[in-house]
Amino acid sequence: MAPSATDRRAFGRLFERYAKMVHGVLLARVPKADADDLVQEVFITAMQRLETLRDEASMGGWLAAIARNRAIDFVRGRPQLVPLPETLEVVDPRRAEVSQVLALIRSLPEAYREPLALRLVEGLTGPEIAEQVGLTPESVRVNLCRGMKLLRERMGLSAQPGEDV
Amino acid sequence: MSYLYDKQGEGDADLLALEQRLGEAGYRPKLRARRWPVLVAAGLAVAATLAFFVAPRGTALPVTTASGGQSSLAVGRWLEPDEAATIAVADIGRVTVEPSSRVRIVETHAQRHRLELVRGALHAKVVAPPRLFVVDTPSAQAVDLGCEYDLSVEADGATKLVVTHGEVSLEGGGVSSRVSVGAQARSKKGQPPGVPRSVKAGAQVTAALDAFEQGGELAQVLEVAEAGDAVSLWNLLARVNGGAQREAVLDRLLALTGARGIDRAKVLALDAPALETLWKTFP
Repeated sequence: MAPSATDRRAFGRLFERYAKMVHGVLLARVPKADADDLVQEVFITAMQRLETLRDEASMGGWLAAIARNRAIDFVRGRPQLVPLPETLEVVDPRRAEVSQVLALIRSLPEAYREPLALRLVEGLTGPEIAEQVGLTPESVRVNLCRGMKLLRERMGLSAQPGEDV
Repeated sequence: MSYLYDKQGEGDADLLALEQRLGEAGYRPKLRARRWPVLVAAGLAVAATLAFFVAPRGTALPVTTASGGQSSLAVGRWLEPDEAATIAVADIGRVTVEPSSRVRIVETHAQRHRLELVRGALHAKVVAPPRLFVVDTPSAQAVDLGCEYDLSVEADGATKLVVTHGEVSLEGGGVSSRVSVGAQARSKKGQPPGVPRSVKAGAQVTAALDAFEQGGELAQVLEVAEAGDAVSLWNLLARVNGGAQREAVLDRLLALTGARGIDRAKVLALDAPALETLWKTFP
């Protein structure tokens, strides 16, 4: 059966509103190239299961849960990787630096990864993160501050007042 | 509040530089926005057709009531039994639903069996690979890691999980609580799952953990924790800030359990295999 215009519009709205959030949730668990690929899979899964969503107000949290599960399945099914030789030349140092910081974020405690990826990479504000993933603003604020403090420590950056909560 | 939280005020130079650099990795649609919903919707139609012919998924599971009545529960339909009812979940286990509960099957197929409990309580006994069986509640997900457990949902959507065999991961908001046999965990709507604690945990440590979850002092938890609270301390390792706090938790945990052969540096770096080794030292 061909998808209806209503389906297409609904999908477009869903995507437009939540794509960044889904990408950020994935990015908190898998490298960028994989996160880019998985975004589409998450939305396809969501559309297939849309009838199981009980409360439309829970859409963001529901999508975030699908994204987390997809990332977990992806990591579990990924083949063991062989380390690259140390002599390998870095073609794009700027991109390598971004990858290193993202890897640092993924090495942080679970509670801090998502808020930091959504705030620093996707550019969402704390209140937007809370609204989109279904957490309380206070929980997001605390995890952002603690996560940022930890990230600064691991990057060797100086601590900032207000992040010690 | 602060630039970090809501972009109000001024951010420090390091934060602004990080934002600028990492922003390059943010989401960028690969296709033109107006085109790709059409392509994905078309893909959905193809996928649905293929799924129907190639990989048919379960559509219902058998249900037996306490008095012996038998029926089947279709995917998506709610079950609100007047008496205890047992759902046979394919060949991986059984879920007994208490009277007046409200539960439904979200999906059931070889890759995942997922139920949703929005009211009441259930008892699950599952023998399956980890993460194959999941129960959603209004405030968390109980992800089976090979186990038997009781799960209940209160009127405000709060969830309580008690593990009676094996272990379960209670997940929500990007945070997971690893709950072992003899332990329990709670979660409230809009908040990550709470720190698991032994069902035999004393009043002092319970109060200290409750206070910590509300922003209270870690030191109080460490002061009153006993050997039986290892599950709580292990889960705290990833929840506290690195450095002094994590070291304090690990010191107390090792002192209480007497665990040996632990790679301290790796545990403090939250290295997964090292944390697993530590976990396995608990009785």
